[in-house]
Order: sequence, then C-alpha cells, then structure tokens
Amino acid sequence: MADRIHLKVVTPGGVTLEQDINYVNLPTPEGSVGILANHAPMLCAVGKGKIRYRFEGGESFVSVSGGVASVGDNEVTVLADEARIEE
Amino acid sequence: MANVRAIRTHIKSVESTRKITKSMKMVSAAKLKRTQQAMNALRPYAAAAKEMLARVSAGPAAQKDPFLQKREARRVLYVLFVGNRGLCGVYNTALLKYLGALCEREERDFSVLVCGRWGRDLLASSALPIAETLDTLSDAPTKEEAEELAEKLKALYLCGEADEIVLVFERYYSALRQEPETLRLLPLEPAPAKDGKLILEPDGKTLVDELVRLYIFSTVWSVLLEAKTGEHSARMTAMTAATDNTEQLLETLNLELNHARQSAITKEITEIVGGANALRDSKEGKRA
Repeated sequence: MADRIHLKVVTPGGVTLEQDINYVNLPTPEGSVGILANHAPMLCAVGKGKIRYRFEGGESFVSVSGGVASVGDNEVTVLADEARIEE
Repeated sequence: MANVRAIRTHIKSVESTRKITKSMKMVSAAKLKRTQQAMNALRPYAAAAKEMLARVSAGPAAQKDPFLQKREARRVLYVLFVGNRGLCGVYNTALLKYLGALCEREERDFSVLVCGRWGRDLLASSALPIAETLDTLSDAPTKEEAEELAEKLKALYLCGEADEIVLVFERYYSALRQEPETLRLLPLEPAPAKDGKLILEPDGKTLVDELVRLYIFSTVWSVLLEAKTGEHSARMTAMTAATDNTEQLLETLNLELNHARQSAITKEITEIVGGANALRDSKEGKRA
C-alpha cells in the first residue's frame, strides 16, 4: 500500500518491533523528525527518546537509547542499542 | 581369564568417565542454547547495519573515512577464533589446519592474533607468527567483550600495525556442520551507489563514523557468537559420542564380569563337590 510505511526497530537482542504504520516520529539529536509515506531516502542519527508511531486505529511508542535510522522505499529501519515498547 | 576384581575396577573407572562426559555434554548443551539464541537475535541487527553502511559508503561523506579508504596492504593480521578448551572433536584442529594452509599461501607480511585459550603450547610451537593471545574471552561473549575486541582491532588498523584484518573462524551451519571460513573485516568494501540522493542527518561524517562503528562491532560480535556456538555444538557432539562409547564399553564389561563371576562360582562348586566326594570316598573306604 502506498500510504503505509514498514517500521522495524532492531536491537542486538532481536527485532523489537515490526509493523506497518502510517506515520512515525523519530527523536534525533536536533529535534524530532516526522516521516510520512514516500519520504525521500534518508539516514539519520537517533537520539535517546521515544519513537512515536501512528497506525490505523492507534498510536504507540517505543523508547530507544539512541542509534541510527534509515528511511527509504517506504521502509524505516531503526538500529538501536536498546529499545522497549511502551504500553 | 580376567579376574572379577580387575573387571570391577575397570567398570568403576568407565562409569566415572561416563559421568564426566555426560555432564560436559549437558553443560555444552546449555551454553549452546544461550549462544545460539544470542546469535540468531543479533542477525537482523548485523544485516541492517551492513545494509545501512552500504547505502552511505559510496557517498562523498565516506571518502575521508580511514576504514573505507583503500591503502596498500602490506601487513595482514589474521584473527583466529579458537575455543577455550579442547574435547570438542576436530573443531580446533580443523581451524588450525585451515589457517596453516592460508598462511602458506600468504605472500605478504602477516601475523596472527589468537582469541581463545585452546592450544597455547601447540600454537607456540607452530611456525605461526603469533602477535598476541587474548585468553579472557568467556564462553558466552557479551556485548562489552565484543566492543572491546572491535575497538582493539580498529586501533591496530588505525595505527598501521595491520593494513588488512581477516577473521578466521568456524562458520556455524548446523549442529553437525561447521566449516572454517575467513571474513575480511578491514578495510571495508564500499558498495556501489544505489539511491541517488540521500539526506544525511545531522551530517555525513557523524553518520559514517557511527555506521562504521556499528558495522564493525556487530560483525565482530556475530563472529564471536558464531565461533562459540560452533564450539559448544562440536563439544556436545563429541561428548555425546563419548558417552555412547562408555555405555557400549560398560555393556561389554558387564558381560565379561558375569562370565568371570559365573565361572568362578562353577569352579568353586566343582571344587566343593569334588572335595565332598573325596571326603565321602575316603569315609566309605575306611568303613569298607
């Protein structure tokens, strides 16, 4: 689907989250970056904070301790040292 | 005819051997499970780090990175991942043989960094130029250990001690199949550019530095885990075979013991009967 983004949060301990979403907000050291579908290819550093993501029927968070994110082709992959899904 | 007591002693010693091999097998199985889990969990991370590095490595930001730059490889450093102990079949010796063949073909200047406690004397007596032995690595490598090793290798590369770093380890295919392999860690190979324009936040250098660090660290950790998983699995297989062998041996020994015991009893009875008959004969002889 064109308006969907495949979000993946990976840590050395395994894949924390893998989900199709509509919008994701990444905490970078220079402020938060919102990403919608069809975003330009990008690599960015991710700071300590919460990744907020919206999907059909809800919104959720993943806390990360910093890392790198790659955006491209409606896929967002976050490499984090540690990550935890917030309830 | 072996005597009963000798066989009993033999059985006892085989039984204690079985106890040892059996518990070693159990310990290896537990360690195998742990390292294998960690290895599988790390895989997506290592793959993603590699992919991200590939995306950025062809760009202008990566040109200045010392790990990505080409330089003449005069000194090669082989990092050999052996086990911490023996008793794991051909695991260590196969690796050593492989490295020996590799070194024979090597025309450049080279040295070897050994990771693992196994075979210190054997390695020292071999013709290999051992630069250093790291014998503090645990059986279940942690993130910190991997980071430490990665930093060490990076430092060796940066200071010119080594112009190329090659990891030599046993690739883990399955519990029954591990094969020696090499992996060139440094210098990194820039991948051909895929996407045209790439936004880099906050800036190219920071990202390249971070991705190089992540890639090297995750690769070293993967290799460490893979080597350890292979070691534990090889030891488990070897110890399973050893336990089976002791069981077979025990069976044979038990048979032998029973034979010996039976013939001893038969002999005793024959002697008693013979003695009794002789007594009776002599008594009857007196009466007659």
